Amino acid sequence: MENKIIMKKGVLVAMLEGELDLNSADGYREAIDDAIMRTDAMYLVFDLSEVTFIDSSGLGMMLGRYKKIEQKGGRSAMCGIGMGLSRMIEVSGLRKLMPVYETREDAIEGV
Amino acid sequence: MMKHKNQIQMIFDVWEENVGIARVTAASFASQLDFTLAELEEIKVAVSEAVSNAVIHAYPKCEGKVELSMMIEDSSVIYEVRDHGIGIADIKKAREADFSSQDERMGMGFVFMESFMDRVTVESVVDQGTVVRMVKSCSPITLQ
Repeated sequence: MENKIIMKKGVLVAMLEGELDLNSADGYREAIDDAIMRTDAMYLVFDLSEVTFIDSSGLGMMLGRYKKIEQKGGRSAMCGIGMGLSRMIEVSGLRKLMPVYETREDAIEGV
Repeated sequence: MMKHKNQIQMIFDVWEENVGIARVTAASFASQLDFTLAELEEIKVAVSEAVSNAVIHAYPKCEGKVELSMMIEDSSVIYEVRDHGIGIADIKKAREADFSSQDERMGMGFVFMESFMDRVTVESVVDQGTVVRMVKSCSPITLQ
């Protein structure tokens, strides 16, 4: 999972993939928290383009990392949200907290 | 129209790995009816939430079973997620989203169940367990 979290132009990018549920959320939580601590990142992008399923465990994991970055005075963003995930992001309220970009490059530039 | 009836029951350990198996099975079962792909995704989310709740909250010692019953009656699919765990003392509070909660899932599980299913009921007895029942009806397709 480590190679799915990269630092680019001073932005930590978490490239999430597969099914983001109770079973996988803990792994991402630990890996992203570890990366935030190691890099002292202020900006975080969640790239969801390879995510095939998400539920409240996955969304909760994202919200927790958003809060962590916000507490440091930083900002977070999302990108790569396909039709399947769009409604989940909407209903959860995450769209109100983080800007959404179409591509990873746009998110890195925009956050 | 002929009544379509079918039923499957699965019983599994409260392991996180089983949440995915439960939701995929639930969606496969519902595909006997004419749900759209988007509706099948909604079913997957709702069942994932109900089973996740049982896995996280029902058994503090992480040992126990969850029963997932699936039924088709006419044009509706019905899911019951049952555990024999600690139960819920305040169901009304449990169903409310709480974004300030320390729990990172923020109580959104019930929000999704209610958003994506037509009817959600919860019965619970402290120290005896909880049953979440969800119903989703399939709109009839007009054949040309």
